Amino acid sequence: MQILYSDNEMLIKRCQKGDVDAFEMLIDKHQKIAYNIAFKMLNNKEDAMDISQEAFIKIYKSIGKFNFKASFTTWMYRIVVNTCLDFLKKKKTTYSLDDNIKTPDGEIKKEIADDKNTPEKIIEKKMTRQNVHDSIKKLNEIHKTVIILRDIQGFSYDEIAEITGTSKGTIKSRISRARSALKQIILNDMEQKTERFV
Amino acid sequence: MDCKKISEKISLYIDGQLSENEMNIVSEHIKDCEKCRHEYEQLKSILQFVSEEPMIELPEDYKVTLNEKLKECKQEIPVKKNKKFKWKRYTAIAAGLVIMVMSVSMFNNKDFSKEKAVEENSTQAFPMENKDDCARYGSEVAEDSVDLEVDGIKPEDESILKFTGSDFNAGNSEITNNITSQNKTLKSKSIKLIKNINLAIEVDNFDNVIDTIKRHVRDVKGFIENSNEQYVYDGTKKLKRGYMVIRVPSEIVEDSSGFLQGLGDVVNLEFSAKNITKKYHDVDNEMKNLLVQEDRLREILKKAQNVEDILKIEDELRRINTKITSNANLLNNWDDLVNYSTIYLNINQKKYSEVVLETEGTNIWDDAKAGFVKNINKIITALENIFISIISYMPIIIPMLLCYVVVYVIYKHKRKQ
Repeated sequence: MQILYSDNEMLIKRCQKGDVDAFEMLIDKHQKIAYNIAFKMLNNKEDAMDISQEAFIKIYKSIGKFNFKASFTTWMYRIVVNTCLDFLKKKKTTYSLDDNIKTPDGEIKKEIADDKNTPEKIIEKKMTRQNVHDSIKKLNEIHKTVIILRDIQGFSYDEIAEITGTSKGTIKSRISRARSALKQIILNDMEQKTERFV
Repeated sequence: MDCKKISEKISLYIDGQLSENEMNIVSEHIKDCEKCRHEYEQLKSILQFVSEEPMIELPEDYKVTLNEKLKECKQEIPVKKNKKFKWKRYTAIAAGLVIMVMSVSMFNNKDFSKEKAVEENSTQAFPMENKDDCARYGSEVAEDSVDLEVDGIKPEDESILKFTGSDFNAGNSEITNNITSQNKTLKSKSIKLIKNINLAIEVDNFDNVIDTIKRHVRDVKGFIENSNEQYVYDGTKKLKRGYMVIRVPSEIVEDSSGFLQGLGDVVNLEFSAKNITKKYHDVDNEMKNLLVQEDRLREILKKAQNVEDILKIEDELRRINTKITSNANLLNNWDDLVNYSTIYLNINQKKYSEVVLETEGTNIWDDAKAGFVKNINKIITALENIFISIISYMPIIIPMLLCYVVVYVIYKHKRKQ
């Protein structure tokens, strides 16, 4: 790891002088991850490509300001995540926790239930992968971001704190709440499906 | 812990983000509590599904298009930066310099004109003094000037030749020659002249010039009767001023004066020669008579018989002796003044070490050139002064800077807290 770190340093310094090849080497293994983060956040392959590349260009342009104090990776992903969030703000396709979910049959209010885990609510249904991933799309940006970073990409709590620019404590509660929200969406979703079939 | 709290901590429990104690508590709880265990397993399987989905591949053209975009922006940045960068900075620096130089040179200018006025006043003080003396002597000469054509010399041969600086620069040697030739003709008829020269010069290197003058005076076997030096502060520059009364053998006083003029720029030159020949001779003759009288009296004294006569004669002798002594003193004094002419010398240090432009005529082009050079010199001097000021204020600036640094560090420290 030591060797890798100093390689990174050398590459970064070359990038600061404007070396495009060095930059591409630097981001090589991160491109796929960045693309996937963008895809998960924006739900659209074309947007994912545009936005993730926009993020890389921002990174390239501002690499001169990188002061080697933080980790390069987290600094880089921070720009990726922020670029995605900025894009989402512009598009304004946000689902807040208290929004109504639109279904073909009309709206059903979803609630965040912390105290509703009574035995009646526990539904033993087969969850499909599709269910789960559709549900992720319905999370709000903040929760979606941490779920993507933590559960899809596997970043550590510390890394996520650096990427989002918040404290670890905030991240802990954020992840708990995000997962709670996700679970609720999934359960609601399965309820509906059950109802439909019944 | 009750089920509600456990439920809140399940997420962190799964990630191992609880304290060791809490991890144990939750672990123990879900062993026994079916509901909570179910919740735990449910969340776990959800997260399992989430993490299992494979990532999608990068589009084929991803890297290529990114590369193109990077190269585009690479070209943008350097050019833009340079263009923006230079313009503002250089104008600001240029403007700053111009203002600085102008203000300092204006400041210098003001002082300079004041200085000149003072100088002129002091040099003029001189001729006044002399003129008073001349007037006294002059009147005495005039009284006795009934039958005066001694060896063809006329009474008004108290010749005062006065030259100012500008005349001098033009026809330096010519005037000196005139004086010298005139004096030579006068000398050859063994007349007594008391020569005085008033000279004011401006020099660059004050101390060097003083040393040169002293050496010269020694060489010509003259002596310095009186001298003093003083400092005047003009802005930050220390200008020296000196005054000397030099006595040199009268034969070479003109040469000596010429030498001294060559040491710097002549601001004022006055030459005066007082002819005391007649007076001298009169006194000399009188003394001779008195000596003869004294001899006669002594002889009479030898022959004297009674006390009364002796007393009378001794009285007379005493009177004559007194007169002889005073005459002798007078003659000695005059000898001294005649043999050793006096040069009253004012030496001032030049403010600007100027390029000497011998401007013959006063045509516009020459004046313009001279003015141009003068101002360049002023700028140079101004820059020198700025440099000197910066260094002289260093002792004040450094502690101040230190204070600012300390305050800034404390401020930053407080902000962090």
